[in-house]
Amino acid sequence: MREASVIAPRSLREALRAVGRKGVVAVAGGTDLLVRLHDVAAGERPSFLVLDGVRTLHSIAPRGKGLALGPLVTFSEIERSSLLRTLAPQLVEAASVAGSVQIRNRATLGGNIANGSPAGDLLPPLYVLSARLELSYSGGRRQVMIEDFFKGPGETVLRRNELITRVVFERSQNRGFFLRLAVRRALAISKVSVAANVSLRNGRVQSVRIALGAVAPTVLRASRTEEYLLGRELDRDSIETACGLASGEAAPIDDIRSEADYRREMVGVLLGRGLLRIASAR
Amino acid sequence: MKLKFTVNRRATTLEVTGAERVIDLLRERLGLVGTKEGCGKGECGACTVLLDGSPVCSCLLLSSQVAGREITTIEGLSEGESLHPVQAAFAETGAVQCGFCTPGLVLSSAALLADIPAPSREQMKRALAGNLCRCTGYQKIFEAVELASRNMRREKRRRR
Amino acid sequence: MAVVGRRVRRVESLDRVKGVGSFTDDLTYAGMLHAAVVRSPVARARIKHIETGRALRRAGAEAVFTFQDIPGRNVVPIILEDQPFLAEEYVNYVGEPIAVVLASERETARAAAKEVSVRLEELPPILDLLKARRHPRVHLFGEDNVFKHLRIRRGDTAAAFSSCDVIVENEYRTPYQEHAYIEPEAMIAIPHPDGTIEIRGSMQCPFYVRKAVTSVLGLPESRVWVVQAATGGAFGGKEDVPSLLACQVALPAWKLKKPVKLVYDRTEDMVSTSKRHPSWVRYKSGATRDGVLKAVEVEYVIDGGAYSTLSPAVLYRGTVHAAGPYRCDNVKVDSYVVATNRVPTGAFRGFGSPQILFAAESQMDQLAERLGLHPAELRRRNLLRAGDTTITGQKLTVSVGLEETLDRVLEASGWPTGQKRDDGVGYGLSTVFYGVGLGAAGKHLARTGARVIVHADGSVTFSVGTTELGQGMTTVLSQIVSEELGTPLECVQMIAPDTSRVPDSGPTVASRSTTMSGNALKDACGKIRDVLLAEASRALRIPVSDLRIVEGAIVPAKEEGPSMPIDEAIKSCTTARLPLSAEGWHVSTSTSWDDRTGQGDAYVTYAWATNLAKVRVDRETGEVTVLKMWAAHDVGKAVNPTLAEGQIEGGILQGLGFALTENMFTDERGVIVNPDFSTYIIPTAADSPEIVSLLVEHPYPDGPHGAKGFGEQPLMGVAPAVANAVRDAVGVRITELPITPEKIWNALRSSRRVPVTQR
Ligand SMILES: Cc1cc2nc3c(=O)[nH]c(=O)nc-3n(C[C@H](O)[C@H](O)[C@H](O)COP(=O)(O)OP(=O)(O)OC[C@H]3O[C@@H](n4cnc5c(N)ncnc54)[C@H](O)[C@@H]3O)c2cc1C
Repeated sequence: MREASVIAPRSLREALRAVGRKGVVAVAGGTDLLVRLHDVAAGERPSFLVLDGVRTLHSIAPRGKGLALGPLVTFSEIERSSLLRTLAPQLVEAASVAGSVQIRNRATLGGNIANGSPAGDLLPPLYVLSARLELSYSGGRRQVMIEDFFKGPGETVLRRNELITRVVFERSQNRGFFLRLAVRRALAISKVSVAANVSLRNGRVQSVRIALGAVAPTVLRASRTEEYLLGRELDRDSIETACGLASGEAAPIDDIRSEADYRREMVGVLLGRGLLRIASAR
Repeated sequence: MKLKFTVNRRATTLEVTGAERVIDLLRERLGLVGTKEGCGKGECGACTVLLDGSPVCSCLLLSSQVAGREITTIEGLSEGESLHPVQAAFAETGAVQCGFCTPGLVLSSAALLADIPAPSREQMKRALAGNLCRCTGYQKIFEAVELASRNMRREKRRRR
Repeated sequence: MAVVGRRVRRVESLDRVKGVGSFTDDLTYAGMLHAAVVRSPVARARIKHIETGRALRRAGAEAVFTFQDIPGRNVVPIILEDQPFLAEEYVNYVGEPIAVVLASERETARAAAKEVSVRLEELPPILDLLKARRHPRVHLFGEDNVFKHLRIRRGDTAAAFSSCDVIVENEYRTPYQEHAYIEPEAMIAIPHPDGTIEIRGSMQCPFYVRKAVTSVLGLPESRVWVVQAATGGAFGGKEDVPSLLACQVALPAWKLKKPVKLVYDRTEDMVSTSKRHPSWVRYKSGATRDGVLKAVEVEYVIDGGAYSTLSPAVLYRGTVHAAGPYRCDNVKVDSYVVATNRVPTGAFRGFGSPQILFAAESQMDQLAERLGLHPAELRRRNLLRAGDTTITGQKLTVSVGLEETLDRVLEASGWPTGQKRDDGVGYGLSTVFYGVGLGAAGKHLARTGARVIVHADGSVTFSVGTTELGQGMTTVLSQIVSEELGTPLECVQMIAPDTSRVPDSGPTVASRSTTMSGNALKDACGKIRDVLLAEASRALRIPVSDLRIVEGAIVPAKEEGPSMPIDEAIKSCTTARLPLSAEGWHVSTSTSWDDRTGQGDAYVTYAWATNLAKVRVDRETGEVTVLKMWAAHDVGKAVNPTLAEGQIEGGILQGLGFALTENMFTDERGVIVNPDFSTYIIPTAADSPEIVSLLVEHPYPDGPHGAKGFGEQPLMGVAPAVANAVRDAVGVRITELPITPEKIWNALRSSRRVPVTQR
């Protein structure tokens, strides 16, 4: 038996030196990790690499035309950031409906990504904002597009010796949304979610990105739907067709939260609601 | 490691591994048993404490994560025998039934009122959704927050 | 009346808002060990071998106990005595206790418990309640796996149906409901050098706990001393289960001569403790064109799980409430509680009635629809009034305020009766009733003791055998004592329920604490009053019959005249060495039940209620938003209206959970797959609608100040009101709880395929 110990670095360098060590696991807000370890006795727990103290990982800053967020930015900080409210409204909407105040005060962006749940609420917004992740290790770093980061539920390309150190994304186009359905009004994991980032020009869709949450092993881009919408006017017919297409792109399952058929159809319903909102906001 | 932090306005130093849950530290090492454990997974909010004034679940918090920070538990919300206006209002409106969730709800309500002095029902619901209560149906808790809000604002006006 | 009827502050609320530590897990004792329970991982198996070596080698582990260590009887004594305290040869459900592990730290005990390896030979389980009855191969209880079968035979249903103009027949299902009290089950045992053992914990029924510990340790009742600690919610979930925990700590504490504490982990609690019985109902009702309910036929099957625990009593309440609060001359009810290899189910607010009332009240709305009557009108034509007879043949004489509850709800809600708008908004009604107390099934337990002591300084302590669970009993009883003795409320103190202070007073269940303990206290206070009045009479020279106690003074009943402050009377009695302490005792009026016909005076009296739900249903997503709830309850007398409203509001929200989200799933091997709060979905503050509670008071002459018990009733009619509202809103009828968006969406989808002919 090994006593659980803690490494609490003050700098990124220190953190990166520790992360690859055997039996060490990084902890940000702990809202996923400590739940997972609930039944593991102290003696069998890994050593915690507590990231809190690395100040540079907490920042929210403009970068070029977009933004760069540190992985330790919490849901609450996202919710309250006026910068994000204008530049990434989808992300703000997602952060503000997740969990509870207590959870949002601790849960982090990086944790949501690294945890790799297809129901992670920040992920669909990050997909539609074309987020790039900076993964660092002792002596180097690499960039990965968010879509290439996930391999399956809870599985990512993050290597054992790496940390997510930055999340960079474009500013949102003129229109976007995040909508979800969950089993109750608060404190609930999404059973289906849809995020979009749309720009219109002369009433036509100039660019569009749509991502679907909790309806496949990973978050999914609805690429056929996007293709269809490109260049079209957002009217009743095009929206209806888009909803049908998006439903078809989802690959949901039955589980204790919901049913596959329902989820598939709800993808269309939520997308329709979001697109209608955009169409009528003109 | 030596953990230095502030608990209920008092500078505190403890010898810790750094991996203990804060709830265990509070209940077992500091005897602050007003913080309750209902699930150990951040779902019920009975273990809510204020970390630098913001509600968090102390069951999902490691001791090393509170170094240099300030924790307020239910025992520290009021000073001496006097009650915090939220505590008084909870007793007054009948917002307490079994009382197990009460410390967490009182702290969440106090944090809400510090942030938004006159919250709407919707704002209350959002702020308190992380504290499960199985007895009250929450109605009298909302009434308590409203009462405390009125009393705190009146008190503030009086002081000016 | 000075104190009774007033909205006085709950007496323990000042402690609770300060977080003062009085719950079980807040208590520690020198040398205390922690227990953890080794449980069955499978639904049914024969135990081949229990290997404890590895667990014992873990640092900090102290001991492991199995059934072989039990000095007394290995049985949990409740009704049928079929449940072992620790499994011997067989395990019959996932989570069944097999052994208890002790260690110096809780975490160590839990880790060591995982290291006890139990070799099992798995056997095929029964997991479906409908397959249990007369299962061809698996016999879990008796020949037919039926713990209990109850019947009601009244009139001639076959003949009556043939004269009905409309008949509605349907099947209904309801799932497990988990109590989800926020404080998990917890217990401590403290052995004393004098050969007694003290048990402190979270519980509803100290006398049940005493009986269990006595039986398992083989001790006389005089040596087992049970005290209730502050209890963080119960709802029925701490009725029989604490007996198990008590034995799980008492056995090791007794053997090791050390205090032992056990607190269940939330998941362990959800997996292994009792819940509301899942149910299946086939319900047939018939009415004539003029809206008279003519006949009801019900087959009701509930899943009792592996052992009978309280199931026979649960079934009894369900059976009596099977037809709802209506007159009906032709009734046939067959109800069964069956054995399966699932966790034993038990008491939960409503005790077998919410399931059947979901069916009964859904039926009423369908009859109304078919008859073209407003749901309130059909109910009004059939509801029970004073002078009517219930389906068990009980004649109702007084305290029947059902119609007034209906009127009050209709009046307060302004339920629009005009043309229905197609806006997804709907209203749903339910009228229900609640048999107060244990009824004929628990007749032998229907007695309660109390003890009151008036001290020389005028302060008063009292003890009762029923418990505070958050429902407000302490406050209500303190109000009654204050009222009876004329002592200010601040001077009245209740002592924590303690089996050494009062005689066996039965359980705190069946909404009985106000009426039973209230009456026992009145009895005790009456004896003290006699002494005080006699003393005042001597001093004032006024006959006792002309004196009364009013707000702190003994005054002449009639005109002006000399009076005597209570304090002075007390002092005077003390000086005269007169006894100012007394025992009180109360026995319920009698009830009866004929097992063959289901006829008799099933309960001493009934509480009555009407619920109205206003919902909005999103046609696209199937999501239900409860916009507002109205509930009126005839409680006889609201001793404290704030507390009574608290019962209504809390019961409604639990009822909404039952109606809309709460469900517990077991997989094909009998393992509960959602035993935590992120997957077992109870309502949060954000899910709580506006609730209007209305109190109706038709006094019950045998209740203290006219009060009747009603704490369970607020939950009972919520689910059918919601189901009826959903039907009103979007035209689909959901007959299986919970009413999820998925079910509504599926129903809407199929109703779109088949054009709706008749609504
Ligand atoms: C009650 C409750 C409700 C919840 N509700 C929601 C909800 O509605 N929506 C939702 O999306 N989620 C929800 N969650 C899940 C959780 O809060 C989020 O996924 C959160 O974003 C996790 O962040 P964290 O900082 O707490 O992660 P942690 O638990 O600290 O870490 C999670 C994982 O990520 C790794 N990790 C963390 N940071 C980094 C990094 N910088 N680099 C590499 N690896 C890293 C950790 O090693 C660990 O494996 C809920 C959780 C709880 C307990």
